[in-house]
Amino acid sequence: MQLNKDRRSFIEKVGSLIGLLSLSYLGKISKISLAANNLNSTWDSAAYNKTDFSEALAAIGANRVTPTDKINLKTPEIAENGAIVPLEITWELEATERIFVFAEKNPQPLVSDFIVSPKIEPLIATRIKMGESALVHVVALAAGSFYSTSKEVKVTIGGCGEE
Amino acid sequence: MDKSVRFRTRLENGIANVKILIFHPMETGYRKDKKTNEIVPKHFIHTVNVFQNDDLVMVIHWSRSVSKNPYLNLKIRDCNLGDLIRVSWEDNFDESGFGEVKLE
Amino acid sequence: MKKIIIIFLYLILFPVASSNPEDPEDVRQFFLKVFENNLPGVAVSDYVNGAMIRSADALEQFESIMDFPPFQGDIELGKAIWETPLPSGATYADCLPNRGVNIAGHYPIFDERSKKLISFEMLINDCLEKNGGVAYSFDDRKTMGALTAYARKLSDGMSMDIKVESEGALQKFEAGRAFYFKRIGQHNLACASCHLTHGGKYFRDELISPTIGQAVHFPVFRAGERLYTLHMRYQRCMEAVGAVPFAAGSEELNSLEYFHSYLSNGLPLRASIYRR
Repeated sequence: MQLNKDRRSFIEKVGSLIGLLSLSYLGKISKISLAANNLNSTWDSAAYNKTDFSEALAAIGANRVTPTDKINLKTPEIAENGAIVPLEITWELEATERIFVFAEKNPQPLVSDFIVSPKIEPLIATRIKMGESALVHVVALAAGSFYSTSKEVKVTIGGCGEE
Repeated sequence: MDKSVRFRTRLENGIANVKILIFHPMETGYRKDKKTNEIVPKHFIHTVNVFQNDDLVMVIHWSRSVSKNPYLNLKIRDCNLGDLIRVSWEDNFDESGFGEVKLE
Repeated sequence: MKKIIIIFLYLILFPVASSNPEDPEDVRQFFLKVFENNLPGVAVSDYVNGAMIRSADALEQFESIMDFPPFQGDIELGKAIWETPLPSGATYADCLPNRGVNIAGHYPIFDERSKKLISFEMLINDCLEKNGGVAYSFDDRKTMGALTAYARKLSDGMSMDIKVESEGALQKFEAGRAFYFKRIGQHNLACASCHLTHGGKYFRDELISPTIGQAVHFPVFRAGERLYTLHMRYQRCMEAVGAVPFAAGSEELNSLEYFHSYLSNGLPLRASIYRR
């Protein structure tokens, strides 16, 4: 347990160093066109370890979140299996720097975050685990403000005849 | 290059539609091994870096709430034939992986 | 008067002769009629979607996952096994008819000499043993499972085409049919109880998949990760009704597979798919 904690803080400390190392592993580094380079791009263990949705929101600095229809979240209505819930996120917000995904009732609600450079088209798709039926929230950080949209996803237990 | 990353790419009008699959158990730390009856420790990818050639275009942070053999779809602007799309990942065991594909 | 007697005899004899309950094709037609009733307006070609029939939401998730399946790695493992030469130097492609391409829909086949059914998986093991290898367990995910996850895909798109063309073959078909309708286990249920009577209907919160359209899509990857061959799936069903399952690769499950696959004749094969 203690070892894991030390591991995480170690990762935090050298997070950016690892990033640089992987770049150098690739060969010469010409330029880094990441607009969010100024942002902390290390894995935010404080936020990821929060077990309460509102605390996780506060941990990412989202003290004021404006609901918006400029983020489109495509989810199943009823997830066939909570182990693999496909999500597709598109957005029309200007100057979007970062996208956060929460599953409100997961043991740790913060599921994933994406730091996007201007080279990224406004589309992200991924597959997440959901422990139970809950609201999935997508929170976008754009031009210094937080915006969000949510969708209820029902989760059923896997089908008949499972081991 | 190791064997952990799979790509499906399509270049259309300068936009690269990139689909990525990474082979990884993404263990939550809640699952019990049926044979040993012991908890399988959490083991998940926490950071993924996506590059177009040498440019870092996206950083992804994952948690144990991301599905096993995680999937990602993104689109990158201003891409050309021959561009290399590169992905590197690191997990909480300090293990890492890397893959790259040439846009055709 | 004579004419009336002849017509009367005609009416009595021919219905009996033409609706022979042992004719596999009659059985298949009977199943089709039940499902036509349970699933009005649904094309038979859609039966392959099983529990996802009538759910655009479920089908969309299926297509999304199948676009880039998380179990890709298992199929690649199977490909590596398929391509690796056996101890004698031969490969599976050297053994199997047509190099393993577009053949799975013909199996199981009734072998007249041995009077036994031969499944696709038995072909694999036969090849292995003839070429210096040790037969795989029929329920081993890492060997037979992974290998067939790839090898069966070489027949993707071909129609199921099971033949029952001899007395011996018919006996095997009948054995499979008898088991399909037999109540077993603590729950005292037959395959038919759920998948024929309720095939295409809701049973609690699940849409029960109809019998027709099932055998074409194995192995499956439950939750996108756990591989089940058809025999392994039969075993899970038997356990679900509180019965002790037959062994994978057993003559009992081969007979069931023979009967079960025949019912899906005409439908396209598609191996290694997602199921929840």
